[in-house]
Amino acid sequence: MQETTQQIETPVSNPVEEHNMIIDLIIEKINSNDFKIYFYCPPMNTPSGGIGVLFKQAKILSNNGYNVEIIYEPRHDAKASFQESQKKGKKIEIYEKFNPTWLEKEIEGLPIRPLGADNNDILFNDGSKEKAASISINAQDFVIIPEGFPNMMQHFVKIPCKKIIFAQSWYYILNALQVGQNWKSWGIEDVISISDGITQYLNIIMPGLKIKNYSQSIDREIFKPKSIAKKYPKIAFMPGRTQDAAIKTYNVIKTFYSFYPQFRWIRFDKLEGLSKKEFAERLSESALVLYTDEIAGFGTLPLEAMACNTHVVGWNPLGGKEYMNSQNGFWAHNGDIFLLAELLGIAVEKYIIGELDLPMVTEEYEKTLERYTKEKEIDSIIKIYNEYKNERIEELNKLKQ
Amino acid sequence: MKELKNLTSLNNKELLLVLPVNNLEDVLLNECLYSIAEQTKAVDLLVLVNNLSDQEIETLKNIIEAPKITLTQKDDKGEITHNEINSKNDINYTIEKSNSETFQKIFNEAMNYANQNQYKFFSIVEYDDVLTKDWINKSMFFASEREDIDVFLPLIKEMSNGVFLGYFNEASWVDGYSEEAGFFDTPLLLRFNCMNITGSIFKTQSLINKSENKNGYYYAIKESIKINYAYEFFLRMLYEYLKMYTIPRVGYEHRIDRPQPKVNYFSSKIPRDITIKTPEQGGITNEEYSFWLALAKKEYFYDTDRNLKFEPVVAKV
Repeated sequence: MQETTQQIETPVSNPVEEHNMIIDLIIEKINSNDFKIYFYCPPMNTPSGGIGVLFKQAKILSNNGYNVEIIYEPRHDAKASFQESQKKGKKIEIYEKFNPTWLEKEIEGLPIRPLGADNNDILFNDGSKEKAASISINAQDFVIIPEGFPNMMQHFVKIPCKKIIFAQSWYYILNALQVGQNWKSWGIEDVISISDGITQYLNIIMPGLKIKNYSQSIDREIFKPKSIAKKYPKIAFMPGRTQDAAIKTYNVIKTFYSFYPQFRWIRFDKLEGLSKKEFAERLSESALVLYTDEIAGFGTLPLEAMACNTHVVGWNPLGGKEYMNSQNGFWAHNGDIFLLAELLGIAVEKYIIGELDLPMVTEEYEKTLERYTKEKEIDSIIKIYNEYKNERIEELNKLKQ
Repeated sequence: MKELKNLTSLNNKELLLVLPVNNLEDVLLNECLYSIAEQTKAVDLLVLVNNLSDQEIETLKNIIEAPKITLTQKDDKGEITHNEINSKNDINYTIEKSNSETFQKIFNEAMNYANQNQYKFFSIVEYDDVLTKDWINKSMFFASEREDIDVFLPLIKEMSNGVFLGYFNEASWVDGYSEEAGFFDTPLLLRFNCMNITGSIFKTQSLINKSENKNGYYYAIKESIKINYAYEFFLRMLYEYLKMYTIPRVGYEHRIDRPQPKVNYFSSKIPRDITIKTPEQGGITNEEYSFWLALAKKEYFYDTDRNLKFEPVVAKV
């Protein structure tokens, strides 16, 4: 990947004046939104909540007049490269195309650019070809880097632009760093955090960061409640991010069946590899959802479930603590398999005796969801970036001589 | 079948609940009627009495008009207390005398009453069972949302002498048992006799359309079948494409294994020891039991009652 900084031409010869004039020009560009916000995104084509949130933020900014671009480093496809090289009799490199179609409307109109050497053709495993370009990042531009990519943070050290970390998980922050390293080592202080939990965590492990809180929303057009007469007595679940997480999830399910043999007729429905619409449909037709994400930075699944009037039984990871309470779900201490299995049984019992059909249950869900509306999300993003613009202008003004 | 002139419908003739009574068992009747009185939706109750004296009917009326239950609790000192709780609600009811001495006949009579009096649905509750508080309301909500369905079955809590045995009617929800989740079908029912007739809510017209009509009286259940008649009935109705669905909510507590000196054919509950009981006690032989079971599995192809009888095989010497 290459980055360059453009030179802004000025007609002034006095170096101090020239310096100040350049700064004024940069400030003017920021004021008039004539700058770019680059979102670095790992190129995952399988559905990922984190990538969804990143794209959603980019889309909101784009809809509000900001110039946004998604950048990614194409992943090498060794198998396709080998096969193509064999066929052509020369070395050919093939890359995976980043095309997160599962995001549907969030990617509409957003430029997604592969990084690479200027004007080189990048061949993708879907047969398409694209010209790579080195990005030209200017002082007025912003670069947004997800929290788990310190290599990218390091990469941008010498680029005099605004660098902001987008923290969607607490778990990967220290895992990705060497002992003693922190983001300030690369001159980065600005962080957008998606939950109170992450903010608290960062304040403890890296005091002194400037953290802004981003309020997420649940798409109520997709996540809609179904009539109780159209729901199935089944429990939706997502097996987990890792093999270990999946093993734990299945252990909860088997423990539940073992504790409650009378509920062996209750089915579990794995939500995996689905488009957003299919995911919402399956979640909505389920009576309950089992939530086993121990490391969630925020955890949208419980909120999406509440929007579908699907009752949540789950662990209470750090990220979700801001919205989890005894009225809106059956919450077990993070990682406690036995308690979660027991709570599943209690929840199923309450469901089949009709206790969860009471209006007060839905009212409680709505009370929780009030905090996570589309309007609040848009307002919070616009507010955050307006503040960043002002802060950047202030920083630049301080550089004047 | 006559018009129920003494019963003004409180639920717009949506549902007729039928309670057959042939024996005055005070505690059980009180519990059953309390559960009816406590329903969150208005109920029209038809009590069909068989073989009760006028005095017994008077006693029954007194229970219907003030059903009560007794709660046994420990007080602050740890001593056991018995608190009587009376229902605050009145039951909208009428009592009719019936000549039906078996459950098959009672069921057909109940259906004919519902039909004659233009009730959209009917359901039978036995006096030693109880309904859950919101069952009528919940089932009517499901019925309004799923108009294509002919029979709504509750999840049943199977209780044996106060001990919870498990759920019943749940088989339609078991993964891989039926073709469509929640709905019973013939292969499932041939595999397991897994549907309970009491507590189920029947769409009157759907059953009438599939019943044998003899001089304007309809026979949904074949009265000549001594036991397993409900099995044959459900198999036949499924064969006739009626849609039967288990509402995934507990609606009915089915109390079985009550010690009884004689088999009570007025009830749908056939005791497990029926083959041990003597003929005087209403018992039948293993051979006869197997006969009726096999008959149920074959006879559902016929839409009329062929009046088949059990003929014991006489061993030749």
